[in-house]
Amino acid sequence: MKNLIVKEILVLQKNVFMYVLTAMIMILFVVNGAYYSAKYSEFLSYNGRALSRHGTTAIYKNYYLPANPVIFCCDSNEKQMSTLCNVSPAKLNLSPNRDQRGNIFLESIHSMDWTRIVQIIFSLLMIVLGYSGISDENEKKTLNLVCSYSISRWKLFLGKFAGILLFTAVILLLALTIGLITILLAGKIPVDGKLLSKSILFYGVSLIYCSFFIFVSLGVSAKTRNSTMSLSVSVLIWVGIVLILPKTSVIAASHLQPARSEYENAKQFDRWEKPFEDEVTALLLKAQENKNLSADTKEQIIRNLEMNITQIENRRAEAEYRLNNFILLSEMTKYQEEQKWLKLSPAMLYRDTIETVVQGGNAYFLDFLKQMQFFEARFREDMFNRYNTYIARPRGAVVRLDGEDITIFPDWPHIESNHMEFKFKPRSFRESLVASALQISILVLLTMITAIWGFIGFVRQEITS
Amino acid sequence: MFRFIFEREVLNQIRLHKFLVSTTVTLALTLLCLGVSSERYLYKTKEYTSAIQHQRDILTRTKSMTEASLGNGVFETVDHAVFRKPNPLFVLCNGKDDSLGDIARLSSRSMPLYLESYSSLNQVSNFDLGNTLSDMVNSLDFRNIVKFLFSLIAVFIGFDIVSSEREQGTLKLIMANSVARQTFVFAKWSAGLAVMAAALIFALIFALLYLYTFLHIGLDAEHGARIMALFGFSLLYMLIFYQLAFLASSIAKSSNMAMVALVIFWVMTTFILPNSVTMLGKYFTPTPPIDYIRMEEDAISKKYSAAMTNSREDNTKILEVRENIQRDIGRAQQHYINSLRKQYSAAVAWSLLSPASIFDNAAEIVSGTSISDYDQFMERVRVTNESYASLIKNWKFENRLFEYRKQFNITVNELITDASLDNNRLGLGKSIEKASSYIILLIIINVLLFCTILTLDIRVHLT
Repeated sequence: MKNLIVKEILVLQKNVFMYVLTAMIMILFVVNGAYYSAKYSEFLSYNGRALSRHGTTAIYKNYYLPANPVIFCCDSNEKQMSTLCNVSPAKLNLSPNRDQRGNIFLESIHSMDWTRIVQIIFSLLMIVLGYSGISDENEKKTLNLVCSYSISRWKLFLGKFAGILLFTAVILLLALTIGLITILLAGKIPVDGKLLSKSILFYGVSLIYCSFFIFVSLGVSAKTRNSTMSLSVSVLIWVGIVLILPKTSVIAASHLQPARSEYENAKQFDRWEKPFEDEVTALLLKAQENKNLSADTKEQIIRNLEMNITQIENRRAEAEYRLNNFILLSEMTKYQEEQKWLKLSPAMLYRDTIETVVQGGNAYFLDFLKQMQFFEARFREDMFNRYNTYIARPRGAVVRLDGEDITIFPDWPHIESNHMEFKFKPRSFRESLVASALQISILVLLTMITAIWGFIGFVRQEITS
Repeated sequence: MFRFIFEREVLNQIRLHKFLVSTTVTLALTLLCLGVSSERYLYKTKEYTSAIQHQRDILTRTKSMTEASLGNGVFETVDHAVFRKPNPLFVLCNGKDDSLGDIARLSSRSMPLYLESYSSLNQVSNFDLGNTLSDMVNSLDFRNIVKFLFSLIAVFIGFDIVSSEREQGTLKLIMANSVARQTFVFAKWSAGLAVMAAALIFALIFALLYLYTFLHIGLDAEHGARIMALFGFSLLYMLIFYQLAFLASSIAKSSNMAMVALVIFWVMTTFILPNSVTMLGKYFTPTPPIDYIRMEEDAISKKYSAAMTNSREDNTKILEVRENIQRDIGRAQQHYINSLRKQYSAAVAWSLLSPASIFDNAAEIVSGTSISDYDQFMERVRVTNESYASLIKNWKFENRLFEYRKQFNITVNELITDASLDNNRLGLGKSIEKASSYIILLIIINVLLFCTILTLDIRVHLT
């Protein structure tokens, strides 16, 4: 077994392209470190300024998504940088401020974080290292010789796999070290024990992902007649997994499990206030029909109007709240639906797992959002308990009684500033491990299935002599 | 002999599974992505048409209004915004239309800094979790299919075009037949090109048929010309990969070597370079912080706060101070936008290292969804905004005569409607002119590669 691994490594180290790809990976890790260090410090200073600028009023509180140190590992989008969460009892308003979202001219271009480098280049490296593993030896008739040493096939298969994996592990370790050293030298992102342990987790999950691709390439190599065919098929599979599946599964999700589209939301949003406005207008018109009123009845009508308008206003606030929540919820279900479908692609499954494990990217953002929602619910409950309403101040109305314009303005409690505060708690190391256990096991399972598939292909292969 | 080699090669290519599979997958994906893109286009068109219809209705109502019919109501005015007409070629090449926005809200004080998207018309929350699911391809349109998949098809066609003959030993036989080396190379080259062009033409015809019959997207002659140009660029771009594959296939020891080298090159040019050079561009050409304008506004208001308190009593003075503040803020905004543009230009300059980005830029310009078209629209917005601001400025509040107010409203409404109805994109000639540098770059690369192929000795590694 040991000999087999050593032999495999000796064969691999002759591969010129391996060196090309490794050089490329190292350069990318250095660029990544420099770029994200600058970006992180920009985030930090921006968040500090933004928080000092947006104070809280009696009824509104503003929060920004805190800067995440693992941004170099999985950066989701610049959009998140300016995500301002505006919380009030009436609604949770979550909007990227258009005036503050970075360079709009460059928006569509994504940058290369660690996950993406592994997702794309390492998987390709696995194909390059593994495609000729079996078919090439078969072509050169060396497989026949090796088998004559009465080595069982599973040992041969595992030896090849272990050789490639060992090689990859070394390259990845080197790359991560270089990346971390760059970050350390740039001195913006604090490199502490937490970050290091997250990097180790990243390393582990990435190796599982790489193993999947090693088994794919070895399996294809065992099943095809020659190495050219094996290479073509492996590259096609790689393109499908890395490039096509992630995109088409999003499209499939949106069509097979239709979440509410932008247009549907628009229709719902459009004129949602109209029924309430109509109701108020009807009330006012009805009141205006009364003629020749005594002072008492006039007073009575105004009191009634005030009461009714208060009720309508409260109902309006409730409706607005529900609508906002509904749209937010529909966005979230749409996202989760897409996530479900995205897991069809191992590349996206890997990305998702990394995000959960290291608490970065969308996972971080969703956590923030969920905690925000929880806080908002408490804020709302507190407001209702104290004042029996959700709105700071209702809208007034003007009614014409006996040729005299009277402004109806219901009595409203004076709303005092609420001292409830929100503090975002990122998940602890253990929590994120537990949360990602399922994803990691799916990834391992997938890798094992591929391994079995590849091995069966290898066992059934006819060795030419 | 040329004809013989050509026909044999074409038949060979078509018979191969890898070609059939990749072309079928690409065709299916083309149709899929067209469906998705067109959904977005139709949404935008619907919003645009209804907004314009709304503007026209109000204009007609205002024109037919008499003093008696006005009652105690007021004049209606349209949304003070200029709408950008959606471009049908958006379906083929999304370009920068969606990220830059389509609606410019006019203001009497300053030029609008950013455009809004059509969904903002209905107050739909701009927030889209789905979009933050980042992967490398952000929009699937015909351009991206060409950029990623057709280039790969070109590699698949070319990588073993010479080396397979060498590996099978048929190259020796052909060479023994006293075929000129150039004839052989040229015949092979043209055969591969023909197959590649056929795949692209198929995809394009299918795409256009699908657009025309199922999605009912009308295209006129100019669009046709633009699509032809897009097709030409795509072919030029694919040709780069094909010729490189041809070269690699002739030089490399084995087809495998050629294939691996080509796939690495393909990954470099389509994924890694365009994305990482943006990081370089951002790193080496930094912009002010994203809340720069906010910071400037704070500084400016602090600067003028003394002047504001001093001139509280004097109306003309206060107007003057306000004008100064506006001017300073306008300058800060301009400075910010300029620096963003500078960073963008730097990123584009860096991205010229990759043929994929060259193709990207050329395709965007020729489809009319590029930054130049945005500039064209912004120029129209600027002119409109200036006239709008001067109209508002000269509006005499004291003058409450019906005719005066009516005329004023009609002028404003007409101004905005006219600006929205304009095409507001670069003309075909201008587009081609803008894209010419990219086209020349693509042609130069191709000519260089072709010359190298012609001077190549395919007999290396033959013995």
